[in-house]
Amino acid sequence: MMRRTCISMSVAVLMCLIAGQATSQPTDQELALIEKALPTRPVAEPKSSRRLLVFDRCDGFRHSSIPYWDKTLELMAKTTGAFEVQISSDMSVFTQEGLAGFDAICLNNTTRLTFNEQQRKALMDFVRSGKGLIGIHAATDNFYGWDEAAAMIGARFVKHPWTSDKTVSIKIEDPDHPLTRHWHGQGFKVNDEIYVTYPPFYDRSNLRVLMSLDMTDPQTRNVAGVGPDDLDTGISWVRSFGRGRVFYCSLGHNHHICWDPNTLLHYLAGIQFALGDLNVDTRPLPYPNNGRVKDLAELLEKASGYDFDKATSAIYLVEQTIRQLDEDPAYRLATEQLILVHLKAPGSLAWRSFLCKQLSNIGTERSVDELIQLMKDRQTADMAKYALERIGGPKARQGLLQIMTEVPVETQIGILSTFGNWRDRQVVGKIIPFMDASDQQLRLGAVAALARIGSEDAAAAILERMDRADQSFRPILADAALQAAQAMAADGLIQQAIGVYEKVYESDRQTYIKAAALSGWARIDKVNATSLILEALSSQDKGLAAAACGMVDLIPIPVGRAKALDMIWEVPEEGRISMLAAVARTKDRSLIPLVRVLAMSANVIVRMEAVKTLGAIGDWTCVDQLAQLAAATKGGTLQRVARRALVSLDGEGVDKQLIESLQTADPSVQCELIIAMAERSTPNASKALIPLASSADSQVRLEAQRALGQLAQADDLREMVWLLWADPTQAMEEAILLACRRLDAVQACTDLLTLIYDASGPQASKAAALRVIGKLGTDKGLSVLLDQLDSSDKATRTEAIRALAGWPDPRPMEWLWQIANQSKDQTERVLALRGYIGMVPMRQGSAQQKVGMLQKAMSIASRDDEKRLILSVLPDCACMEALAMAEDALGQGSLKAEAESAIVRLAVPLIRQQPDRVRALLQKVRAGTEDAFVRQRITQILRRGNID
Amino acid sequence: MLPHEDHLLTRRELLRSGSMMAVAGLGLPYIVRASAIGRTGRPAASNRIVMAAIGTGSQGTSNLRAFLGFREVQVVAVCDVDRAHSGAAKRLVDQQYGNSDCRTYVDYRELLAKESLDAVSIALPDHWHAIVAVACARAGLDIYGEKPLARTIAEGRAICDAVKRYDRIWQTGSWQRSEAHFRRACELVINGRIGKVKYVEAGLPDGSDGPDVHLLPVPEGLDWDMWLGPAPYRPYQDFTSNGGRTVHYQWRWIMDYSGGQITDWAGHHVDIAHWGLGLEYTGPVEIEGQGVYPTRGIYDVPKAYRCRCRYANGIEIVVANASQLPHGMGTTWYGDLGWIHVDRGNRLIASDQRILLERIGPHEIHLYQSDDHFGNFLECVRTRRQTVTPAEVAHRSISVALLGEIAMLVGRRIKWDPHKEQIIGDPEAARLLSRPMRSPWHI
Repeated sequence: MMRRTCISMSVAVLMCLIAGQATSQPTDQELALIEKALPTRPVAEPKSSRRLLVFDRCDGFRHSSIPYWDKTLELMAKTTGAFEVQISSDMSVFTQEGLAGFDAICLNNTTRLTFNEQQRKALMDFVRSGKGLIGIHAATDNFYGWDEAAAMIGARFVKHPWTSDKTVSIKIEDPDHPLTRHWHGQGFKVNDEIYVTYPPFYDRSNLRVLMSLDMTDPQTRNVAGVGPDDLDTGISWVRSFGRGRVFYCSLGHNHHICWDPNTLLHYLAGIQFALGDLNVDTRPLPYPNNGRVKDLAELLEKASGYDFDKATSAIYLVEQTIRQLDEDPAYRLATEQLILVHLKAPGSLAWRSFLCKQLSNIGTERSVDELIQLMKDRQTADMAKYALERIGGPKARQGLLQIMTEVPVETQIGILSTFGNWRDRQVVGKIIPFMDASDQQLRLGAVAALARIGSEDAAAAILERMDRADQSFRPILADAALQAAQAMAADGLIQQAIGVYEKVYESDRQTYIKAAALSGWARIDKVNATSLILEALSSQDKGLAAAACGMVDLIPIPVGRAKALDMIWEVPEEGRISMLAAVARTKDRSLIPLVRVLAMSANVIVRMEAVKTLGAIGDWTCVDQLAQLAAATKGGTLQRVARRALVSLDGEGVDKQLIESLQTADPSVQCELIIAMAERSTPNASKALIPLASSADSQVRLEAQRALGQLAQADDLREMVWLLWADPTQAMEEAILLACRRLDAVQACTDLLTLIYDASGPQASKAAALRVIGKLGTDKGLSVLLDQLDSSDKATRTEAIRALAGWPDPRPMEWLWQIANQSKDQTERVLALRGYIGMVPMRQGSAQQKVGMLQKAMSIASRDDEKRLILSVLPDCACMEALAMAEDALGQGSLKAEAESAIVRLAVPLIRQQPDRVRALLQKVRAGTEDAFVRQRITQILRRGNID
Repeated sequence: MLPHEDHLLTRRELLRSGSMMAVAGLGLPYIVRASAIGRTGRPAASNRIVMAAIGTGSQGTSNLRAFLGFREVQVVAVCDVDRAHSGAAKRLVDQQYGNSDCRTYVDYRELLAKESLDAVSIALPDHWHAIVAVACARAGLDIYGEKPLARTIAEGRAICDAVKRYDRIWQTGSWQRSEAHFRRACELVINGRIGKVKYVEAGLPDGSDGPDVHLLPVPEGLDWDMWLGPAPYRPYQDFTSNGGRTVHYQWRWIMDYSGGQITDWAGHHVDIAHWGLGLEYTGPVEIEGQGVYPTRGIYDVPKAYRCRCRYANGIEIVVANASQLPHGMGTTWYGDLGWIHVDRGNRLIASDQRILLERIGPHEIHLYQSDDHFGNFLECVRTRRQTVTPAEVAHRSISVALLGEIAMLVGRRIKWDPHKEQIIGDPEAARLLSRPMRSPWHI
């Protein structure tokens, strides 16, 4: 101890020796320079005779400029008459009495001063009471371990990458300020040592910074040791502190500063401000003082009158500006500081809430102190929490912990919830006692927070209380324990989670909580899951047994699952469905035999679920059983379920089995097999189906024919055509058509049909063949049909015309037109005209040409049906002529509805071409229609026309 | 165990413990609406699913009506912070049963404490979803909950965890899943009928500006503080733009309560987009978005929005207001062989109509078939099967919109880990994954 003191003392002596030369007094020549540079009159008239205490003690490094500044201030006092100076280096001056006679204290490059409690109080009281404090250069190298004073002077030394040999650029941030206006806003270069200081002491939301380093100057920016955090390095500032005033300037390491006239004038104004004679603005400025920040500052200023009943435009502007915040650290900092400045100023609750929301998005640790203050007021606490919870970090945690016991219960609950949302393991110990609080809501808040954090110690504390909790609190604790276990499991703490589940499972009496514990446990404990669930299945607790049924899929080994399924008749009835649903989830084929037995059960509910389960896990062995079941339960729900199961059977051999079973099954079962094959698109099934398509059983025949449409192969077509010839059913026609399109075999099939058509055969067969030929629409088919027009057989002719009328392209139009005009037979004329009308839109050509054809058709149409048909295709030929034609038809009562519909549909594409004409017509229709839908549609079109 | 052993357990407890028998003796485990078979054959009271409705505004009442239409359901209580709502709902229930037994509550906590329920139907403003849903799951109830699942991703996760913790049955109000043409569209897409899908559009409604602020005295019968619940304080006011003098319904255009159209509808068309791609249990890995926000009035959610979400498999889903998309409202998948578009009103179209005729084979993917959204829920309550829209699926669809909301708010692309559910490398954006709650509310 003694030794260390000796060493430190000798270091101090040594330093004084080294600095010996430097601590010398200014020379006469230098004094002359100082005198020449000093102002000759005060900046403001002193209101009374002012006394300044210049304190120049150093307990750390001693600057050689100290005697220069002592002298300069003495001379300044003389030349300006603004104040008197007393110089001291005796700490004992810091008493209430010792300071009583002074108006301000100037710390002249003092370093590492240590103040005892009384001295601290004296200095604080002095400034707070309305006196001044001035700091020169190293004055910020003090107040270690005394944050309040460091904050008062606005900085604490961090480093000085700009050493005394460097020349730096300084910018004037506040050009109109009384302390800086003599620079006329012109920045300047200076050779001096510059201190770096950081928040929270250097805090632009408290300080009005007048000058700072100009980091746009490369010579200043690119000095070794200057990092991104140093971009804001203040040079001089003023601030209010209590009722007092503080002025600090960083310049003054090098002696020559003492004979720079502008800097001296700056100091004089600053001193006079501190003394109380010069009234200056100390409100913090936005930073950096550039356009962007100024804009934001202005927006905030404009919005600051916001309240719940005020318009939102101003705050939206602020919000959008803040949302566009980019990576520029200076701008981010400035934004946060601006918000804080407003948060500290008086404002409505709505405004403060708004500011808190902004901080919740972009705030940092720098905002924490202010937000913690707001937490203390119940009114602002929720929104302060809103910001703090999102900002997070150790400082926020510490701040919240500190006020935790002094805030109202509601705020405490909020803080607990924040800790929970952070999942902050470090505060578990602080939360636990709140579980025993007398306030119920507070207790719940603590439990919820611990449950969310889900650490081991949190879970242990919850479990510990669970056993002794009363009836109402116990389930809450049990839930919290389960929640914590869930979180642990997710975090990979499996053994710990199992421990919690086990405890809840063993000790809880409420069935649904027990069940939840069992389910959570079984999910993560592969070793014990089987025995746990099997035990639970035979539990005396019927509810638990029922719940365990739904957990059969959590049993990891097939033998265990089979055992469980064996117990299906022992478990409560209520659990059987969920057991089978769980088995379905396992996809475990080894259970098929057991489930097949259940699918034959007399218990209809079990049977239904078992069938569904077979659909999920079954294989080829289930085919016969499901098909038989479906056949035996015609029309019932069970049939639907069985059919679906048969279709969804998976795995090898299912389709093969379907085909095989077809050979021996009863007709009703055959039908089910065929239906399933068609649904499943069973491969290679057609050979088995062809014989069945002429089965003696009509149902089998029908299903086989239908299925062939889906399943036929190209080489089956010949057989199918023969079958059609032999037995011309609609089902077979459709099957052939579907198969041809599917197999891309329309040409080949037309050939087959033509071939067979030329043979002699029954009329019905020929008609069926013609119909199919027509629907296939090949060139060859067309010529076959046209040949039939000359047939002497009326039925053949009619069938040919019908087929031509349904032709998929407009090639038969000319023939149809002829028939429509010339045929003596009314049926033929109508069929042909209808076919003709339907082909008009398909034809190549302009809309006008098509309308011409429709007009021709109209002229020969004798029945309203055809006229309506014409009107219904009109909209596919959109042109003004079509519209005119529809308008003509409006007058004919029986066509009115179709005409209106055509006009509405035509109006959409035409309204841009001839707006006036179309609008007028639409309005006419709207006025005359009885159809509400038409009216509504017209209104829509007219409105849209306006917007366009 | 003796078959006739007398157990002390009630049926309610059985349901809570996770299992419930089918309608005994009827041979019909499927839930049937009363309208389908008339009023006879109603299950004995002890076999009905006992329900309460929490939140009986427009959507809540509509859901309540649907549940009242099932003969297996017995609604015993309704709960709303607005007595006008709960009163009307009570009249509806009493009218259905021809008595005056339906009880009303303002505070869901009181409802849960006093009533012996099997299931609840929840239709509340989004900011209330998580607190009430988690409380109901904790109480061992099955839940029909409205979309969107929750106001934030953190709250959605809390619901999923609680539902899983108690093995609860959860059905989300994403009813499009129970419409045949939506399922058909999804089955065609997921089975490759339009080839490999690279790009999807989900068109949701356009937003709008809101009215100026207009403070009002709190109406008689409304517990305004309870309505606000966990949301930041604001005095009672008119949220409507047409002089409705109410906060109901139109809260969804104010960020404290909802994210606007994009979150209101993600549970529909984004959900369908996911379903058709098998992405319903994951999420995008990269999200960027632009929103146009109101510059005046009380609504503060985007009027127009466009969010581009990239998934790990390279698929991109664009979620935007309908006016910005070629097909407008609905979901459109674009594959290398064509496209399919599906929307309400039975609208199902494709680049080539032949695509729509395609059959789905037995070895292909068959999606969950539900033909009645409420019936599916009730059936699952009985069978303990998963519903067509379980909580986790709803969580994943709303997560897309919520991430889009965040990307729009921070104005930059965000990266998302859908497995850990964390925003990667952007702590400021990550803050928006939750919304701190007003005390004393917490999950």
